[in-house]
Amino acid sequence: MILWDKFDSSFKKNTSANAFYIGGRFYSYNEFVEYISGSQQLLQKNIGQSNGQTVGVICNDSIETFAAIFAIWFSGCCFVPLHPLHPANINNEKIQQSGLQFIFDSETNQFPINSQVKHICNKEIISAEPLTINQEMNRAYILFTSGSTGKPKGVPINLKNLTAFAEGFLELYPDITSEDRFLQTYDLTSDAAFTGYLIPLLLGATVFTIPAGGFKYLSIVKILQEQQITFTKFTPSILNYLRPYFKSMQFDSLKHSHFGGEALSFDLVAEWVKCVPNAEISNGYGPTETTVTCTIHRTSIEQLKEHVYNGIVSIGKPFKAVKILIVDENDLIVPDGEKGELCIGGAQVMDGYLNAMQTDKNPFFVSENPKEYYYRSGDLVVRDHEGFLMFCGRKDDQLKISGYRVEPAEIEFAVSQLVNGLKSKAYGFRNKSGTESIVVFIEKYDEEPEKLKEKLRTLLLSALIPEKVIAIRQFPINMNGKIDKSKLFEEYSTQIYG
Amino acid sequence: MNRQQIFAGIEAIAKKIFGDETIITEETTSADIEKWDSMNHVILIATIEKEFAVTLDIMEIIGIAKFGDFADLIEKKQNQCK
Repeated sequence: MILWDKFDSSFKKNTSANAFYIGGRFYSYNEFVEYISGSQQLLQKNIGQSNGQTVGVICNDSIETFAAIFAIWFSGCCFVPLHPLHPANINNEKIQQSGLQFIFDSETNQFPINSQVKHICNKEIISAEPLTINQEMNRAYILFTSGSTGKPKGVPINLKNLTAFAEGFLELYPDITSEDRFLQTYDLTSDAAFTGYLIPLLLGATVFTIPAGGFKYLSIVKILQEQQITFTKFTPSILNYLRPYFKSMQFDSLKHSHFGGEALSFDLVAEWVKCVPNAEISNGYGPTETTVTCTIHRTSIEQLKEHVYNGIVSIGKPFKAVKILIVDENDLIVPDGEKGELCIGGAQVMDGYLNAMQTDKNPFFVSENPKEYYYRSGDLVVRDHEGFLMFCGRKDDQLKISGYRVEPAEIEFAVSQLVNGLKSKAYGFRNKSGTESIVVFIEKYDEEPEKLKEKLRTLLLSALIPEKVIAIRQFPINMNGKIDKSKLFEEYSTQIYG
Repeated sequence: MNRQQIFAGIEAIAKKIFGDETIITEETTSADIEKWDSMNHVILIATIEKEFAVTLDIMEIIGIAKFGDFADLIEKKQNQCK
C-alpha cells in the first residue's frame, strides 16, 4: 500500500466527516473526492495515461486547488505549486525549469504567464467516477527555494521522501485523531504547508484554511477563536505580531501549538503558552531538501526550558527515517557539545536539485563506511548530552524571513538590475517588533529608496522585499578588505532601527 | 474630540506611515494601499493607541476593515471613558 492508497482509504472511511473549511463553508470527504475525481478526469483528458508528468497548480484558496493536487498525485504525476500573486518572472522561471505543459487553475481569469502552457480550469468541476490510484513511486512535487544566482532552485521530492515524512510525523503524534481540527496557515508554495493538510487528511480530520487577503496573523486569531482549532503550525514571526495582544487572547481548544520555519525564542513562546493553557508546544525543523520537517522537539512548557540554547528553543531529535551527522569545517564529525554543520541523511532527503549541473556545488556530505549521502543544511547546531539538537545560526549569510529561506545574493541581484549596477548589500536584522527583516544598503544611490521597493515588488517575492533601503556614500571596509558589517550597522543604526 | 477630529487625527497618522501622497478616506482599506502590510498594520495600531490614549483588544482589531472603522472604534472608546 503506497501513501496515496492510505489517503484514498482515509477518504473512503470518513465520507460524511468534514475534510475542509474554506471560505466560510465546510466540504465533506465525500464532496472532496468528487472534486478530485473531476480534476482527475480533466487531467487524463489532457495528458492521457502518461504518468510521471509534471503539472502545475495555481494555489488559490479553494477546494479545487487541493483537489487538483490529489488528482495529480493519484494519477502518478508530479505537482508544482505556483502562487497567483508571485511576480510573473518568478512563476515563469519555475514553469520553465520544471518543464510544465499543463497548469490547473480554479479561477477563470487566466493566470498571467508568458509561457506556452495550457490552463486546465477545474472551477466547480466534480465527477462521480471512482478515483484511480497509480501505484508507481514517482516524484511527488517540486518546490523552489531562493537561489544565490538570482534564479529559484528546484527541489524535487519523491513519494518515498514524502512517505517517510508522513510516517515519521504520525509516529511522534499518535494522539492526533479524526476529531482534530488543523489550521493550515502557510502558502501552498512552501513545504511547511504539507503538515497542515497532508497529516489531517490521512487521519480523516478537518483542514481549516486562511482566507487570501487581509492580515494573516489576524485571520489566524479569528479562526482560532471561532472554530475550536486543535492543531496549529505557524512561524514564530506570527507570534511576534500577536505579542502585544497576548493578554486579550485565550484559546482553550488548542492541543498542539507547533512552530517551524524560523528560530523559536524561548521568551516569546513562554508568554504565548498563557494564551494556550491546554496546548503542548512543539518546534520543528527541516530544510525543503529534507521534506517538510525532519526533527521535532515536542514537549510541555516546563520541559521546553530544559533544552534552550542562547534563548532559542531546541529543534529536538530526528524523525525515525532521518540520520544526522554534525561536522566541522574539515568535514570531521564533532563530539556532542561542540558546534558544527548539521548534515541530514536518510529516507527524507532529496536525490539532488532539479536540472543540477556538474559544475554546481555539491549539496551533499558523503560519509564513508557506509557510504551515505547527507544534505549539508548550512545550519550550525550543537547536540546536548540527551541528544537534543540546538540551533546556533547559519554557516553562511542565508536569511530566514517569515519561513522563507532567502539568499542575500538574490536580493542584491534584483537590486543591481534596478540601480544600474551600483554596489549593494542585503543583510538580515531584527526590527522593532522583534521580527527578522531585511535591510539593503546601496552605495552612491541618489534616488528615492521607497520607489526602489515598489519596483522590487515586480521582481521578488514579497518575503524578499527589504523593509529598509538605505542609500550610503561608501561601504566601510575592514582590515581584510571586506565590508565591515558591524561598522555599517553602527553608522546607520538610526535608519535601520528607527 | 468629535468624530471629524478623530478621523483627521487618524488620517495624519496614516499619511506619516504610508506617505503624504496616500489618499485616506473613510472607505480606504489595506487592499488600497500597497505599503499597508502586516508590519505597518502593527505600527499603525500602536501609533493610534498612543495618540488617542486607547487600548484596543485583538477582537476589536480584527473587526477593523477600513479607516472609518478605526474612527468609529475610537469614538466609542472615548465615549465609554466619559
